[in-house]
Amino acid sequence: MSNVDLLGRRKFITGLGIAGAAAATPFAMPALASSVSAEGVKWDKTIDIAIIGSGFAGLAAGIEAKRQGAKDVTIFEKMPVFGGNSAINGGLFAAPGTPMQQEKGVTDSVETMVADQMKSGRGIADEGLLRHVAEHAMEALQMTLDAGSVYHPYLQQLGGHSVPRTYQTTVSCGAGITQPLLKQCRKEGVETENRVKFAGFVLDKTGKVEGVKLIKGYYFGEEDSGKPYYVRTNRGVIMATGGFAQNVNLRMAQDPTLTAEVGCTNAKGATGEGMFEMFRLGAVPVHMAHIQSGPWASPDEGGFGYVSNYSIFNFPHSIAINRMTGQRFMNEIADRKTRADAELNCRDGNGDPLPPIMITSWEHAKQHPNAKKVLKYGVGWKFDTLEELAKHFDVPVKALKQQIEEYNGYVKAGVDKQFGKNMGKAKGKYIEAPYGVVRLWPKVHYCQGGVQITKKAEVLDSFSGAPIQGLYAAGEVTGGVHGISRLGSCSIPECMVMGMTAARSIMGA
Amino acid sequence: MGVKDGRSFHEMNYESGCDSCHDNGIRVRPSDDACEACHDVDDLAEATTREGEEALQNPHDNLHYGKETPCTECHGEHEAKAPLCSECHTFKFDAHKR
Ligand SMILES: Cc1cc2nc3c(=O)[nH]c(=O)nc-3n(C[C@H](O)[C@H](O)[C@H](O)COP(=O)(O)OP(=O)(O)OC[C@H]3O[C@@H](n4cnc5c(N)ncnc54)[C@H](O)[C@@H]3O)c2cc1C
Repeated sequence: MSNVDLLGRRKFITGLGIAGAAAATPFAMPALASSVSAEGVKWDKTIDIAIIGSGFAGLAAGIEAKRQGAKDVTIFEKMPVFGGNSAINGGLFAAPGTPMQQEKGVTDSVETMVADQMKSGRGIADEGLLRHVAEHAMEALQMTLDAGSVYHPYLQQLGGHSVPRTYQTTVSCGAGITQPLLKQCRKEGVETENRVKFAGFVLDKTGKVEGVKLIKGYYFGEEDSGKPYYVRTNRGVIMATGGFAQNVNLRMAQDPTLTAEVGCTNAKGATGEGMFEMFRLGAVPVHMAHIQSGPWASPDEGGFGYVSNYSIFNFPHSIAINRMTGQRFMNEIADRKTRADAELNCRDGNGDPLPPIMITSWEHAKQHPNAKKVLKYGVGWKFDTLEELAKHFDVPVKALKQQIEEYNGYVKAGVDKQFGKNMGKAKGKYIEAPYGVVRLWPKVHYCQGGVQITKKAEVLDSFSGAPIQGLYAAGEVTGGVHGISRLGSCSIPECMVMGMTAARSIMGA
Repeated sequence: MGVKDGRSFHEMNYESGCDSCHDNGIRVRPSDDACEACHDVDDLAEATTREGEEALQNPHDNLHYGKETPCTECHGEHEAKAPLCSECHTFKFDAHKR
C-alpha cells in the first residue's frame, strides 16, 4: 500500500512545480506588457467592444452587449480553452427572491442577502456594490436558465447565509453555466478567440482607452510565442480577467504565508497581469491582501478535485490529525484562515510539509456523494482497523488511539475541551471503524482584492477619482466587493451581474 | 525541431512534408484545427464515450470544455503529453496516446 502514499507525495511535489512555473511567468512579462499611446499604432482591426477573459463576467458581458445593440463584440481569451475559473467552479449560485425560494416557502430579500455578506465581510465590504449585485442576481440567474443551464431541484444553505438561497447546477460545476453561456454568446453573434493574450492598453491623447494590444497565437507559459495585434474599440474595453491566485510572487507580496508550498484551486491562467495593467494605468488597488485559502483541499489531486466537497461535508464529525504526533491540531470547523494556517504548521522532522489526515467513521463519510469517488480515484482511503491506518500514514498508533478515545468523550459530552469545536453537528457521531481518510493541505482559492469599480463597473483613477474613460472591469479582477471574506456561492452572481452592468454602461443603457 | 519522432500512422504526413500539418508555417505550431483535416471530433467523441457516472469524463466531449479542447493540449506529435484532465483529476485514460 505504501506506493499509494508515494503517489500522493509525488503528485504533491508536481503540484508545487506547476505553481512555481506559473509564478515565474508574470515577472518575465512586464517589459513587454505596458500601455502605449495610440499615436503611430497601426490598428489591425476595429470593433465596438473588446472583452478580455471568458469566465462568468466576460460571457455575461458579451451576451448583454449584444442585447443592448452592440455590433462587433469579441471575447479574447489567452488560454487554449474558454471559461477560466468559472469553468471549473462548484456551480453554486446565490440569489434572493427566486422562484425556488417561493416554491419552498423561503422568505428572503435583497436586504437579507446583503446583510449576510456584510457580516462575513467584517465591516469592509462594499455595501453599494453588494446591493447592486443582489438586486440583479435574479436577472443573471435567468440569463443562465434561458441559455440552458439546469439546476438541482433543491436549494442549499451554505455557511454564513441566513436562509437557503443557493442554486447548484446538476453537474455540480460552473461548466453547467459557462458552456451554455459560451454557446449563447456565439448564437447572438459574439466572436470568441482563444490563445489571444491581453498585453496592454492603447490610449488616445486625453488618456482615454482607445483599444488594446493583444498577443495573437499565444501559448500559455511560452512568453515569446505569438504576435502583437492591435484592436481599436469604438465603445470600450471590459476587463474580465479574473483573480491572481496562481501568481505566487504576487500573492506572497500581499501575504507572505501563501508560498509555493500552498496549493491552488484555480485555473492556471489566474495570474493577474490584466489587473496589473489597470494599476499601471492608475486604477485603485483594493483589499489586495485578502486572499482566501481553502483548508478542505487535498494534495493528492489538482485544483478543487473531489476531496474539497467531501471534507467540507465531513469536517463537523471528523478529526484532523498531525501525523507526527497522532494528535488533533485544530478545531475542524474553525474559519478558513485559522484552519489553513494550522495545516501549514504540520511538518516532518526536516521541516518539510507533512499533510495532516482527516479521519471519519466510514458510516458517516459515505453519506457524501463523493465518498465513493475519493476511493475510486485514489485520493481517499478506507481502513478496517486503526493499526492499518496508522501504519499506512506512519502515525504513532498509541497516541492516535488515545486521541480518538479522548475525542469520542467530547462527542459524548458535547464539549470539545481540546479546541472548543462546536460539537452540535457531531452529536452521536463517534469515530469508529471502519475509517475513511483523506489528506489535507490548504490551497489558495479566491482573491478578494483587485481594482476598485463603481456600481456602473467603471474603473476609477487613483489620481483624479474619476472613471478612466473607455475602461470597465467585472468579476474577480475587481476588489473590495466582499471585504475580508466572501461567502460561498456569491461570486457567480457578482461576476455575471457586473459583466452585464459593464455592457449596459458602455451601451448607455 | 525537425525530428520526426512521431506516430507511425502519421507516416504519410511526414512523406507529404511538414506543411501537411504545420499550416501556419514550419517553425510554428499548427493551428488548433489542423488535426481536423483528417480527424473528426464527433467520431473521436463517439469512440471515447464513457458510461454512467463517467459520462462527462469523455476526453473528446467533456464537462468543462465540450468538444473544444485543442488536440495538442493532450497529444503531442513530437513530444509526450499527459491528458489535460490530469491537472486536476486522477481519471484513468489507458488508451491515451501521449
Ligand atoms: C475550484 C473553484 C470552485 C469555486 N466554486 C464557486 C462556487 O461554487 N460558487 C461561486 O460563487 N464561486 C465559486 N468560486 C469562485 C468563482 O468561480 C470565481 O471567482 C469566478 O469564476 C471568477 O470569474 P471571472 O469571470 O471573474 O474570472 P475567470 O472565470 O477566472 O475568467 C477569467 C479569464 O480571463 C483569462 N485571462 C486572464 N488574463 C488574461 C489576459 N492577459 N489576456 C486574456 N485573457 C486573460 C483567464 O485565462 C480566464 O479564462 C470557485 C472558484 C474555484 C477556483
